[in-house]
Amino acid sequence: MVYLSFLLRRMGLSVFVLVGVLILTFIVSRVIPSNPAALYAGARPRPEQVEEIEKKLGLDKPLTEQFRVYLADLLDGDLGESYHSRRSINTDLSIFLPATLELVIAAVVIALVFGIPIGTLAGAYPRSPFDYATRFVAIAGVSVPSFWLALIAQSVFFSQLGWLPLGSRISRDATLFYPIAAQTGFYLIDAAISGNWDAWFDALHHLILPALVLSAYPLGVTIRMTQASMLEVLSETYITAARAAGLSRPVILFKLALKNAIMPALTVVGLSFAYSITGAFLVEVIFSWPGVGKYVTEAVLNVDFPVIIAVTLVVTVFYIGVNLAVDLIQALLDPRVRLI
Amino acid sequence: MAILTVENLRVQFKTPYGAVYALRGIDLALAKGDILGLVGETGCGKSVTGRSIIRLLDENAQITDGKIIFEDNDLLQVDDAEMRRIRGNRIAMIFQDPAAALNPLFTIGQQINDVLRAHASEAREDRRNRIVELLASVGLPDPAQMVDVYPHQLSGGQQQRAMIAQSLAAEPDVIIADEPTTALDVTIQAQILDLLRKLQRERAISVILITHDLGIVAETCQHVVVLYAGRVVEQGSVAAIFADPQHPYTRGLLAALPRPGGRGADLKVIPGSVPSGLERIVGCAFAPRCEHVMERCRQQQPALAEMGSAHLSACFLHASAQYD
Amino acid sequence: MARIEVGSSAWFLIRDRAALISMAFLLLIAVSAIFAPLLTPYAKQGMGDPDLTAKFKPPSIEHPLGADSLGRDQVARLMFGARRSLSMGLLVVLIAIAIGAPLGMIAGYLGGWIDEAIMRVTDVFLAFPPLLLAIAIAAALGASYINAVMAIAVTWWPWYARLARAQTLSVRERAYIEAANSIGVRDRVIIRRHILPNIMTPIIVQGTLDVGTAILVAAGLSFIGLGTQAPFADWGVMISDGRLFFLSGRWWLSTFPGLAIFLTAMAFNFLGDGVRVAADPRLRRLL
Repeated sequence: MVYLSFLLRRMGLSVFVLVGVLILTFIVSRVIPSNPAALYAGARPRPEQVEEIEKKLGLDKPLTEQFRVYLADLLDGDLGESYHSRRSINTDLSIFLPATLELVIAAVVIALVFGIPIGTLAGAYPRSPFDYATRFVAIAGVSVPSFWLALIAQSVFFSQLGWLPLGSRISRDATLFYPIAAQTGFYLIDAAISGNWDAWFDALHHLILPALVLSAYPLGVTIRMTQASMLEVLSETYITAARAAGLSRPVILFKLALKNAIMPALTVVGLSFAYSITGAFLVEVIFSWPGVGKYVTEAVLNVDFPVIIAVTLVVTVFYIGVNLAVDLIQALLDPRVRLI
Repeated sequence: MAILTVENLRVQFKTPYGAVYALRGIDLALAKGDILGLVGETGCGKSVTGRSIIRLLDENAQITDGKIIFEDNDLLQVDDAEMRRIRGNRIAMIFQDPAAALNPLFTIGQQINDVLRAHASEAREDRRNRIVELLASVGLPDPAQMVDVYPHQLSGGQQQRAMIAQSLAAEPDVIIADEPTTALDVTIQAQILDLLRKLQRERAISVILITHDLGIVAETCQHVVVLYAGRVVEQGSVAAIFADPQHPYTRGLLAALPRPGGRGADLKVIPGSVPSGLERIVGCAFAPRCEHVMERCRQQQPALAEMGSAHLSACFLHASAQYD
Repeated sequence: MARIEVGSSAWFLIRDRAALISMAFLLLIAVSAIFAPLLTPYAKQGMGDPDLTAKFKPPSIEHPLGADSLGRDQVARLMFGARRSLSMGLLVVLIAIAIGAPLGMIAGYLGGWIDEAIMRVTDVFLAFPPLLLAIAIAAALGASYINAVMAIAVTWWPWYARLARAQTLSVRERAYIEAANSIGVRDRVIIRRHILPNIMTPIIVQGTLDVGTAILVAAGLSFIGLGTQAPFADWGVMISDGRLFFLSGRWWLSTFPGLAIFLTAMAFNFLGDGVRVAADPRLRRLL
């Protein structure tokens, strides 16, 4: 396989999927609802409000024309306006998206850092007590409702032990006395850049619990996939050949087999990202984490449809980008793929 | 002088359907500097014998009885650490499909280097020269470049040469070659067999060549052991067995061999198939497929009996006098 | 040989203690859901009737798992909630299979541009992070139990389409289909007689694993208010209802419905794993 042609094909596919996603969200927002204007006008709208929206969205025009306008707006980078707050969704997302990404990335890192070694060991020692314990933990991880785990975690680490804060991204003291100068929107990065270490530790303190809770599902998935991958690799002939050559068990497990097992397991990076995003929608509510998840769930309560569609679109575009990056990196690491 | 002897080796596999008796008491001896052919159809226990010698059987396998004597030590008794020092270092193995036996994500050089690090004490910078030497000795072109090449960049024959180079890295005394040419083209087969013979001559390495192809045995080996259903049915020098095969099974295998100038229609196939090992075998295991079967064959198991100098066969047919 | 296979698969499943316990647990939950009106003295409360005299009663002999903010017995609420939560999970998977499996079989069997078109559509659906598209669709349809089920199923079918397609491809080339083709058997008959039986096993395995996840996702939708609506409740709604009082000492409100989801999802996962291993001789050897 030649990398360049793979790259072009894979990027072409992403563009195609992106167009599909635009069409599908358009269908969800304009075709599925029986009265899109009423939906866009929010809860209990007055008739003249509905009329105004109808005109603004061009709902009297044919669907193709509506789609053209919808696309034109998106290409301008205009995601519309929240019915509820009347604020620009672009502005809202520029604040909420970094918050969610910080949380999601933390969860993904936790899932990978713990999941890959645990899965590797479990795969290396099948039918050992460690393997059974790991399998139990992995299944528990993918079975626990994240929002419930969040509640339990709060009650243990905040109410009972008092080790960690209840929620939100940063304490009020920090915002008042040593505020973080916003640059990237990632508190840990912004605080570190400006050398504001008090705020940095404060932000970390707030990040720990939500990130741990959020990592449960992707951790379970990572463990299962690495374990299965390792098990598969260890039954390959080249592992038997390595044993027949008298290589030691640690070399075989952690040098040879792990490299082979990690390649397919890299897919879990994309998956972990997806599951963390999904979990974030529910977990952010419980931890009062000011991210897109909380934004969307509040939009659901307020019947703020433009926000729901905009978030769906933006987060999906992000997810497509992550998957593209994972695939490209994975191919780049495989010696069987030629660069040109 | 035998460098490796196997005595009364019995192996069984645990399966969901019950125990499978894979080896039912194998005896064989590999003479120093010899190439010993181990032949039989699929499922007769050739590979299991090879794997037993370096103790790399699947997890559900169990060696229930026997000895494997290598230089006065019973390999079935030595501890795991000692066994690891013997594998690759004293007894190496070559596999059927080199594409599967080489790790796709490491270069040829890295894979040989791992073996050198495990067994030899050379300094890091010397190792690279040693790897180039090894690759040259197995006839790979541009050995200096081959060090940094990944397995998929080589042809099947080159991969098997690389695999052989790896098996030679720690200068073993014995090489177990498990169907080393089955996955290769016919012309490449001959080259690889030539290489094995050359190595055996030049380095005084003893080889156990596992194959289902008596033609390969005739070309390559000095001695041959014929296995059927986990037992030795005939063994002896290649000259003796090809000139005067005694056991009906060996004769069947020879009759199934294509001869130069012969037509396809002349080939005889032995009817039936190898028993699965699940059922308990009473009498001679070959009896159901044997055209000379007698009443006695179904009740009693024939033992190996001397047929001539260094030629043993286990059959009532020709040896009835010796059993009475 | 085929008889030995089926027999030993069943034997394997029974020997798998985790799968066996899971099956027993799921049976218990199913029975208490189906016969809920007969099994609890608080059937009316299970369906939503308040009893303000029992408001926030902690667990006692009368209410073993306590009572909620409207004084409803939690055991009854859980049993009636099980009807919603279990049926949501099952319906989602069944609808997803009903849409996905035929499309996947058609794609794999016919190939060509039809295959290409169906697969590109699955790509688009799978490009959304799970739950997100379901939230948007559920919001567009309006919040209700059945709309939540539809919304999740619509995002789930592509997995089954892909699975069914891959299986169909591997079965299609087998000789007996060639044979069936040559004597003029129609495609529909071939799909029904030859392909369908062969793709059932992997679909059943995946379906069993997915019911647990579908229950989780459905609970998530209900939790944010897009699923089951009051006065009825599923387990997700119960967690949501109890959450505001949870940290102020009324721990029994959210704890038990959460445990119910957790254990049920786990049981489906263990059972699915067991079925998967039992159905695949190669995996049996590896594990």
